[in-house]
Amino acid sequence: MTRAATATQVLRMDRVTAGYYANDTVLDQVSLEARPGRVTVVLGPNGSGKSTSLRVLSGFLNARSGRTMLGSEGIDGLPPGERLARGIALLPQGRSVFPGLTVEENLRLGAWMLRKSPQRLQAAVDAMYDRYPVLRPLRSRPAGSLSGGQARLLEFGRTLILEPSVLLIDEPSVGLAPVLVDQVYDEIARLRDEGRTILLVDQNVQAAIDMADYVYTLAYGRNHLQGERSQFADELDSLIKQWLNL
Amino acid sequence: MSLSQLPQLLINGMLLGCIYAGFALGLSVILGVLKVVNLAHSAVLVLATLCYWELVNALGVDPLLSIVPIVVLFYFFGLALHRGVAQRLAREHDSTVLLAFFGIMVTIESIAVLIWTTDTRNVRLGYLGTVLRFWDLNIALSRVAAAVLIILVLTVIHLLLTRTLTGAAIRGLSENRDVASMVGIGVDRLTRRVFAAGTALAAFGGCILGLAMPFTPQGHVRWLAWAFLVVIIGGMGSVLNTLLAGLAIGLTESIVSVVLPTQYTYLILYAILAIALLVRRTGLGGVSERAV
Amino acid sequence: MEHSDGTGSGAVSPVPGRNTALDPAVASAPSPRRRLPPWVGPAIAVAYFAALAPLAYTLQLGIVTTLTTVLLTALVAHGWNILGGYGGYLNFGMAVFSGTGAYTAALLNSVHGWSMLITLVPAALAAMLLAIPVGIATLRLRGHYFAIFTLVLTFLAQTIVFNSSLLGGALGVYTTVDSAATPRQLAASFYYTLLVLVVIATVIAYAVEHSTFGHALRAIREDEVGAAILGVRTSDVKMRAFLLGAALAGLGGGVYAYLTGYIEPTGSFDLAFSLDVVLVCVIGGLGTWQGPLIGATIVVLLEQWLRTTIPDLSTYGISIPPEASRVVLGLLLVIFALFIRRGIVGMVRRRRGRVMSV
Repeated sequence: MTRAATATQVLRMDRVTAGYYANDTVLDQVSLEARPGRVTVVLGPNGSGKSTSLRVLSGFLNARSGRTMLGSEGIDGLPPGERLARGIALLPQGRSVFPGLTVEENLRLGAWMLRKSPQRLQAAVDAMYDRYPVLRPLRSRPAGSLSGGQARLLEFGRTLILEPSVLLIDEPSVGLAPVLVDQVYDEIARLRDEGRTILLVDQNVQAAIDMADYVYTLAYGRNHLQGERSQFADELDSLIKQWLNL
Repeated sequence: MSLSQLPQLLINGMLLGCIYAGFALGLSVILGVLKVVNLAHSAVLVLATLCYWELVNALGVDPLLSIVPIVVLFYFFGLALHRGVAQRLAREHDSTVLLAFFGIMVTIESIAVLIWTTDTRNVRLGYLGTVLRFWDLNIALSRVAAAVLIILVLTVIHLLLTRTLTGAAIRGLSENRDVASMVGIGVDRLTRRVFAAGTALAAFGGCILGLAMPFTPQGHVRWLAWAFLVVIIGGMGSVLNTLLAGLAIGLTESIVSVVLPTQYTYLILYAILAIALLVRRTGLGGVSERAV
Repeated sequence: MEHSDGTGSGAVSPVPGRNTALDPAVASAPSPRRRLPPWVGPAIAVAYFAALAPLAYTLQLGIVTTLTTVLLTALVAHGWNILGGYGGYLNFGMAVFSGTGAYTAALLNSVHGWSMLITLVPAALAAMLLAIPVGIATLRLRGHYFAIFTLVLTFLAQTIVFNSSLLGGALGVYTTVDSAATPRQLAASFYYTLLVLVVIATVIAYAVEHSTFGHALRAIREDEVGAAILGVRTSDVKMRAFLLGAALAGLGGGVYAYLTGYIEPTGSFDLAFSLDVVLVCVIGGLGTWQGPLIGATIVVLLEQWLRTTIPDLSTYGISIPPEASRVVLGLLLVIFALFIRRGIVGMVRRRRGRVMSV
């Protein structure tokens, strides 16, 4: 669970097929790989299976076939909590704070896995206040009363409180004011510099490619293109045109 | 109604109000946290009363002590009910859930009638059966004991929900189940325990019913109505509101019962239920927001 | 690097063998279920009613009485099914509306001496009249408020009638019918009255199922907010369904008052009857026009069988009171709600689809 152990954690998903209903296949043999200290971006039009990939990797949806691995360990079928214990954390799309709970309670629930040792839990919460000092004076405010930026920080704090080695980030800038969007991407850059493995799903194609180290694109639930960022920077326009034609 | 009656009426009403708040506890927990309308609430409550009656009257166990085994027993009954029925309904249409719990209500009630017949029963109160006298006020000790117990339990629930990590997890579960499981809360297990705790609280309400008044196995729907009245008026957000709603209803009933014959008291309360439904149509908080 | 793509790492290239990005999505829709021609269902129903028609004069009197109960239950169940089955708003107090019809008919008969057929219309109207305030109070709310309120309403109705001397109070009301008729003629008159009413109710249910009104009700059941956004006037639709259902229940209650010859509060506003009605629709198939017919036949026959069989067990040394049948009915409701949600009609419809499409 500590960052020291994370350096070698590669998150991989290998020819995964998955869907929500019996007759419906959202992901068809999708393979992705995210490496430590790098930002891996998954792009694609709506409905191409980006968020579903994150759901499979975070344990909310079980793959019908294919494998998910962390390093050399298979993590197929593990529930979200187990994956969290292995250092995989998800930052979901949209607001995910508990609005009726205070900031402090939100953070403490983020550290739910540490509930057996109150000192470590408290230390983890304090560490998050140190990381995001803005939250400290707000600790007893209900999270529902926070501004969009504050809530986003709280979500980051709650996601990072267990010091995960792998971060799955879904549409981090949706619904935020433009001023805040830059801050969010700065924060993601900081997480990368800390050596974490980052898998980013985004509709904000330009911003995502700007910070990507490696890019995948999906279409109709299948792998489409993949490659280093440098190759994608030029293709961006044609890519977007393609999607619009879809 | 003369003015000299007023203190007595207020005391009666307040004790009754605490008792009604007690009836609503289990319903409120299961509805508030799990969004499940437990139509079988009052049937479970009266089943617990009958078990309590057996413990106290047949086995001669102390009436206050008997509450503990009943509550524990019904916790496990709640676990079984969840495993067998509620769990399977987790993703079903509301009307399916209602149908299933209506079926459970009928089943429990019919079994209770089969075993205990439709007779009206009283729990033998023993030392709790005395009536305290202050000046010209008569106060039944059993009802005082019931009210004290309820306030105690309400306080414990309040502290549990607001001061502990588990309490935060339960509130988190009711607000956003997906995020709760994302942070590693074992939502399935927590759900099962909350349902069982709600059933145990219904059983606690059943013991209170046994302490406070005579009861029949088939007359429980009235307590269902009263419990819903408390939940609708008080909402589910706060324990204090539950108590206040109970008190409002208890006082109303106590005062109305002086002016009108007993059977019309029910009419008034049913009328309040209708009005409460009309006025507080968002009263059930998250539940009503979920659909209309 | 495992980003293998055949042309060397780092190159932007389509995954080999998968130039699917611009291909149209493969349609994965299940093969269309072939259904029987649309006239088969109605044809079976017509045959069913035709078979019932001569029975009043050919069968034993006891069996005719049982069939009369089946018809009565089917009639009220049809009324329940419109709002409950199609719309998903569960009325757990259907007995209140049939009871209102029964009291209206009985009072008009005993006070004014009106005959059965004449009092049926006011019986239906009275039930509708009661449904209006109840509907206004609860139908704008979500389904479970409606369910709770109608459940509680049963006891409210009992209390009111019990304490009202105008309505006969605890003593109840007697009805009188043509005293010159033989028991057989009397039984036949109830039987045919109900048969005609059930045929009408079935036609109504069929029409509802295949009309915009029925589609609107189903939309409400599936997603009420969505339906409202699409322009369905949900409150109106629910109210109409409720009134229609109450009218059918009132008619059933009206006949019931003459059938038993005597009504009193607890028997007329009986939760057990409400349970029967719900169970009939659940077993038969919620939201299907055949459901009430099938369900009523099964539930009434089952209940009669239980009522006669359970006391028989005492000869084997097991003494079980007749109330045990309600345990069975309650459990059946739970089992159908859990496992056979679409009832018997649903099972047949699905089975048919599966078999035919193989």
